[in-house]
Amino acid sequence: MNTTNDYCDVLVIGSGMAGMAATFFALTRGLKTIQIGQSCPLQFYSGFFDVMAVHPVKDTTTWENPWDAIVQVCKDIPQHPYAFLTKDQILQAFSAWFEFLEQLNFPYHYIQNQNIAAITPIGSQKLTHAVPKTTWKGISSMMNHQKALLVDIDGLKGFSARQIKETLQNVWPDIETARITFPGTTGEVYANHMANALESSDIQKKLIASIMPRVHRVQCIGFPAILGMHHHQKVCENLEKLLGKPVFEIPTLPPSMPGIRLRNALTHGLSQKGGKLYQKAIDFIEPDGKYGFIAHTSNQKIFAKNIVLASGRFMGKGLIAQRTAIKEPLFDLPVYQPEHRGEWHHKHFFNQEGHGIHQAGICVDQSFRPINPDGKIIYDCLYAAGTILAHNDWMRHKCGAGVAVASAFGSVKHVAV
Amino acid sequence: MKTQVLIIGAGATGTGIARDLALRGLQCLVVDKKDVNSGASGGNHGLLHSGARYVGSDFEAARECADEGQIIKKIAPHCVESTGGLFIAVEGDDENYIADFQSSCQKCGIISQPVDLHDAREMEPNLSKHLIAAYAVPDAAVDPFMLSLDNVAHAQQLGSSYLRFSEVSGFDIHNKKIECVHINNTRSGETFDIHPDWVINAAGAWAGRITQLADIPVGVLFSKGTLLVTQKRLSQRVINRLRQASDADILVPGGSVSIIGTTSVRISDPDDIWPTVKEVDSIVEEGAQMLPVLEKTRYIRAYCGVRPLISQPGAADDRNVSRGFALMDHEEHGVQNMTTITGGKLTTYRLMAEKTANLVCDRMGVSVPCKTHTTPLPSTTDGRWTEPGLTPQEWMQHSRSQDVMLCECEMIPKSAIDYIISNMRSKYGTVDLPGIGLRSRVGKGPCQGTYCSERIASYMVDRGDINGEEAVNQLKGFLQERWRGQRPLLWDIPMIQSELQEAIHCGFLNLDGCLQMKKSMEVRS
Ligand SMILES: Cc1cc2nc3c(=O)[nH]c(=O)nc-3n(C[C@H](O)[C@H](O)[C@H](O)COP(=O)(O)OP(=O)(O)OC[C@H]3O[C@@H](n4cnc5c(N)ncnc54)[C@H](O)[C@@H]3O)c2cc1C
Ligand SMILES: Cc1cc2nc3c(=O)[nH]c(=O)nc-3n(C[C@H](O)[C@H](O)[C@H](O)COP(=O)(O)OP(=O)(O)OC[C@H]3O[C@@H](n4cnc5c(N)ncnc54)[C@H](O)[C@@H]3O)c2cc1C
Repeated sequence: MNTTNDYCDVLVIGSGMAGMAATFFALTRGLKTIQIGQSCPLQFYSGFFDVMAVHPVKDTTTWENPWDAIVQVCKDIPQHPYAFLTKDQILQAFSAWFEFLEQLNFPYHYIQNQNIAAITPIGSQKLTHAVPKTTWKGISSMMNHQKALLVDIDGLKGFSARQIKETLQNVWPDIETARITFPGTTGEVYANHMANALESSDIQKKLIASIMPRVHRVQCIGFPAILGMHHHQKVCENLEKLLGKPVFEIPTLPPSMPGIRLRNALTHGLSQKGGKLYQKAIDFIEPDGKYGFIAHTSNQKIFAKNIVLASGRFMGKGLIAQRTAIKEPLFDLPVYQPEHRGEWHHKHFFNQEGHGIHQAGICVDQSFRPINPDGKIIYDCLYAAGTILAHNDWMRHKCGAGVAVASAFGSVKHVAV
Repeated sequence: MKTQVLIIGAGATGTGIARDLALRGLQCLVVDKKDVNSGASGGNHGLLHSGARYVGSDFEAARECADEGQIIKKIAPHCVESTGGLFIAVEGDDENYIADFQSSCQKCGIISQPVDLHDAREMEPNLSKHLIAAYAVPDAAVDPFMLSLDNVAHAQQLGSSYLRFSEVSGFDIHNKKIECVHINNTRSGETFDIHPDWVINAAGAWAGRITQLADIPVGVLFSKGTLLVTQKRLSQRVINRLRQASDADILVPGGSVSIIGTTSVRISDPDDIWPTVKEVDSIVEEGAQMLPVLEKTRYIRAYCGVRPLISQPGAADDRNVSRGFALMDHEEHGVQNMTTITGGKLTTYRLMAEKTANLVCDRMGVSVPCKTHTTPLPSTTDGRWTEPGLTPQEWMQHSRSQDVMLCECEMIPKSAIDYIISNMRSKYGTVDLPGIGLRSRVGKGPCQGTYCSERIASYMVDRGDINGEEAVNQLKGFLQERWRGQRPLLWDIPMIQSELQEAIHCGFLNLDGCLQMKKSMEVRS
């Protein structure tokens, strides 16, 4: 096979939230940027943009103000990725990011200095900071105790309007439920198929025909996240016109439409901005005296002056768990980790303190360059961002997307060309 | 509530006794503090022993296994996969043990055939290259869940009953007789009484705790054994290490998986058992000496069970003592209508049930003989969904396009869940997610319940079986039970799987946190 050569200022490894954000910040700086990601992790993403909501995790203390939470986290965990940035820098990163998403027709809603309680597909609530606009409409209806009609769909697994209603009954008493059949389907149905089909106005009309008689009794109508694929905003507008009421979405179990839409929008938007995005694996990387690094894929050699490693954890394959130790496969970076496997996971899955393994990861300095245990920078032009970073249990602190975007910003800021 | 015979414990032994007595015309009530096979009967290797394993240590146990194995194969063929077995030794194993093996088998009536080493590796390509001896024996694999569920179902057909979540918490004893048994419903917390003519204590490792309630001291020690389930089936036959019983020397195939084990660790509380990382590592390393593939293969679950050891001073290794069973008539202890049966093996459950039933019938003046060695065990629908691969077959045959696949790993459609739920409902009045797990392959595939648990919980709310809050609690309980078996195996792909599971259940659904925000939270805006 022919190999081609590519040259760039920044090679971003990873197409998850951190990789996307790093690509965006690098392009914004006018740097020649290539992004390589093997999988599409964003399709698992709910759309909830967590910043920081729980700390200390062991007491499940929740915070109404994410910034207050961050201040406390940085005090208690000085190696937490947020601790390498100022509040202004984090704010700057988020506002640039949300502005970009707005441009991509993917508007987010948030309340300054406040976490909001988002609704999950099992009717539980989760504190997050920002959500897509159509998700927000449901949350605000809940906050205002509006009467809502919540629709679910024959053959869509893991999404029961009745379950959401029952679980939420104390905080949102006025929900009615309706079960409908998606036009032209029998048996099992999938969110992405329905989202695509709903781009047709004919299907939109058919979809709502059966609920029309009940619409006058309520103030808003909720659906599982199936309202459109590429023209989500437009589909929502049409439905609102037809129904005469606001519509909202609740994300389904992954893969979930808000994440799929975000991936599509970002892939498109970043290419438009001049980024080169490839979906493939980097097989190995060699440091190079002249260029910084040479990264090899099956048919490409990429000469990169800098690399931002946003390769994720175990799901992303940025970290590999062997039976005896955790490794970083591309650079063989030192991985901060519990002493042995017995300490990786607690006996109780829902253990309040979380699991030891989630403290593991790559340690970086203030400039997001990986360091060895003595604190020495390993490569001058290597940076790391996202969930691969140590001391960052995003699942328990509820800070996944926020840390991804903030650390991507932090890494790219220090890139020198 | 009145019953002729109250049986405590719904493991292989208790359910086997219920069927035995029911076939003799007695009316029994089986109670279990959890559910069918929640003790050792659900935490064992599933090996229908040929007996060859015991020829070096316990001739009687070996002979019992040899006879009973034959009987079970005949009366319950649907629960047995007649895989056959190999005993193999590798370089470094004790030559004397190997030399005596065949003649020891012969003495116990077990047919063992030497197998050419080259042939052995052809029969089982995963065997080590360092084989030095191989013998074929009539080992088999047995599905303990199907066995116990079918035993209960048959007893129920014959007029007996079964109550789950019913823990025996005390006895009222008058004139040397148990008049009343106090039961605590472990789900609802309610208590009620049962007035039995006779009480059979078949509580396995907990047998000593039951006798204690009647002030009868029976010393029971606890030995935990851990087992690992591989994702793929690694051999056609049962593979035993040809040596004195030790860690990780049996590999039992079952359906589409294999199970390797076990360990033997003294513990102090049979209700607090966890497969540990240390045990897993030792099983993998020891097991790999027989089958090197065990170093590389993917494991999907670890689990453990507790062997009761009726205290025998001086025994060096827990594995080598009292694999035989203990049948105790408590008249000599001052209680006239109580019998305890504990120890033994799954393979000999029928014999244990027979001996117990004989004793009880004798004492109660019932002269009907045992029938279980000849009467086939009817295959009921209760146990059928526990067999790996069965649901897909059913589903394919009916090919219901309307049906929705709730569990993709094990291909379990909505209709199968409907069936299990209605069956549970008619038998017990209530349904619960862990109970569905026990009666099917739900949560047992590679995703270990990440998706299907949530889907089934929401489906159950939809059907009105449970409410939203119960769904959350049952989901958490179900995931924790699965976690117990996942935790020590999390490297390589299972680590990725578990991270996804936590991302969904904690990162996204917030099941680790408080699910409903305080009022102050909702109205601020
Ligand atoms: C189920 C689920 C639910 C979530 N819910 C939320 C939520 O509610 N709120 C929230 O804020 N966040 C949520 N997240 C998102 C989470 O915040 C993000 O996963 C995380 O913040 C960003 O991860 P990352 O970009 O660092 O790594 P990942 O998303 O894991 O991306 C790693 C990338 O690196 C690539 N890669 C690794 N090695 C190589 C290689 N050798 N060659 C090429 N490419 C490579 C991978 O292919 C992948 O594209 C959720 C995620 C999941 C999975
Ligand atoms: C690791 C291991 C591997 C094994 N492998 C094999 C094998 O391959 N082949 C083989 O033949 N044998 C094997 N055995 C042995 C076999 O599993 C047991 O002998 C058999 O299952 C015992 O069944 P049981 O019904 O007597 O006890 P159990 O199955 O332990 O049943 C006791 C029941 O009593 C209930 N109970 C306890 N207290 C109370 C109470 N207060 N009120 C109500 N109910 C109560 C429990 O919930 C439990 O369900 C193995 C054992 C272990 C531990």
